[in-house]
Amino acid sequence: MISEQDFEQLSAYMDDALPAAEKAALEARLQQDPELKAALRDLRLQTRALRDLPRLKPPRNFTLSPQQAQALRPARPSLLASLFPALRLATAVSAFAFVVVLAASFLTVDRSTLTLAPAAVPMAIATQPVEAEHLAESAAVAATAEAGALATPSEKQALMPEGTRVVEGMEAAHIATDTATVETTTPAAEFGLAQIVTETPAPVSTESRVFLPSVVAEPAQPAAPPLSPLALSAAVLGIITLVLAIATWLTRRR
Amino acid sequence: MAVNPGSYPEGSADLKGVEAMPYFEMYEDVLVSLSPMDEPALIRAAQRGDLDAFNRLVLEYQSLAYNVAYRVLGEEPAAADATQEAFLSAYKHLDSYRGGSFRGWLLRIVTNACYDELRRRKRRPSVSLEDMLTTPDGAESESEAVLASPDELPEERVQRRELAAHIQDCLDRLPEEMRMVVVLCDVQGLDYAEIAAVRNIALGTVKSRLSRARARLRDCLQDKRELLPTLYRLGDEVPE
Repeated sequence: MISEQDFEQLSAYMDDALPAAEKAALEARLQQDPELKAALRDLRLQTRALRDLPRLKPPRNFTLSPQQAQALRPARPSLLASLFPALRLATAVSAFAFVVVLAASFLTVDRSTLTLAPAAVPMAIATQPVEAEHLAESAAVAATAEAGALATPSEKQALMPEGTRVVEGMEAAHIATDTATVETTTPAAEFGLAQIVTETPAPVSTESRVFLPSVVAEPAQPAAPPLSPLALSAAVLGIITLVLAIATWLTRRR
Repeated sequence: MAVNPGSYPEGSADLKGVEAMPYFEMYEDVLVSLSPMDEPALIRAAQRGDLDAFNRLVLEYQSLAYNVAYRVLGEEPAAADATQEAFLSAYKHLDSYRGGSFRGWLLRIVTNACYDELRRRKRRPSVSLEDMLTTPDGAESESEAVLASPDELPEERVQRRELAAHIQDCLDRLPEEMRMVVVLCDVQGLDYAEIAAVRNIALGTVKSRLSRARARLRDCLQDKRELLPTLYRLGDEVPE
């Protein structure tokens, strides 16, 4: 009679699931024990009989119908599909806002051109005299310094308050510019006015000579109007609307 | 036995083409058309909700699932119910499949469905009308459902039917867990590791349960030795 342990070993041996050492030991025993060998043979027969059991044909197909599938796994909308309504709404809102802002931008631009145009000229004019005056003053100071360099201290006192010093200064500035390098080394530095001359860079005097005639001769050009905030907003909204529209279209295609 | 052609989902180009074919031809055609390379793609498609892909997997595995269920439950209606439940459950929990052997994953569901059926049977023991109409050894029920070999002689077929009925009777006498292991190993040819994965048990448990199941089957078949065909008579000389 085969013991339960021997039978378990035979069972594992038949399935090639026995450790090498146990397998070798069992094989040695099988050579010497006819009863064990007969048990293994019966076990193989039995297993073969089970393996040879006829394969049954299923009585029907077990495929699922769409209704069964729907009941078991309700179709979950994909992330893109769930985003589509939101994207569509966002595109519509963005497009509407774009149109409104664009229209407002056009209206504002029209008014500004009507109202700001006259104001722009005086503004330009107003800024130009200031600049001219500033340059003239610089030139005058230079001229004064020039004059100071040439005149006595008493004459210098007389030069300062003169009303026509700008014109004279302008004329003197031409001279001062030409002699700018010389001025710093003149003896007039002793009177303190030389400091003003040396602090006034020569290019300023040059500019005064170049630009002053143009200020006087040419009318002021209106500056290019900067991009209004509404126009900027319209541009940004336009870009956003375009991006959203593309995303919505792609989502719908998916 | 009448064959139910089953229902096929609409919109399936692959299945639509074979819908008009007789069931068996269509079944064979689908089996032949599926290659191992198709399986991962079909599983992924099924996980994305492609019912056609899932149904192709069903067609590929329904024979295995049904045969396991039949050998464990021992009767056709119960096996068909368990198989259907298994595929419904598989579709429902398809997301839980994380790779590896799809056959093993599916067999776990099938064996669980079998246990559910066995528990249901214990709660409400009943004998179906179909069981009462079949012969006591169950030969009739197996005879018409078998995938018969065209080369088989009528006498061999009768012998094979008798042997199958005896073995099934012995299997039915085994405790459930032993029956499950011996069906998976000796009938379906799974190895120890696959069985351990399917039943979520240790390898040693598989080994011991299988050994005890085989010992009991040996005893059962010895009792009916005279009924076995000569080829399978235990204790006789076996042709090598």
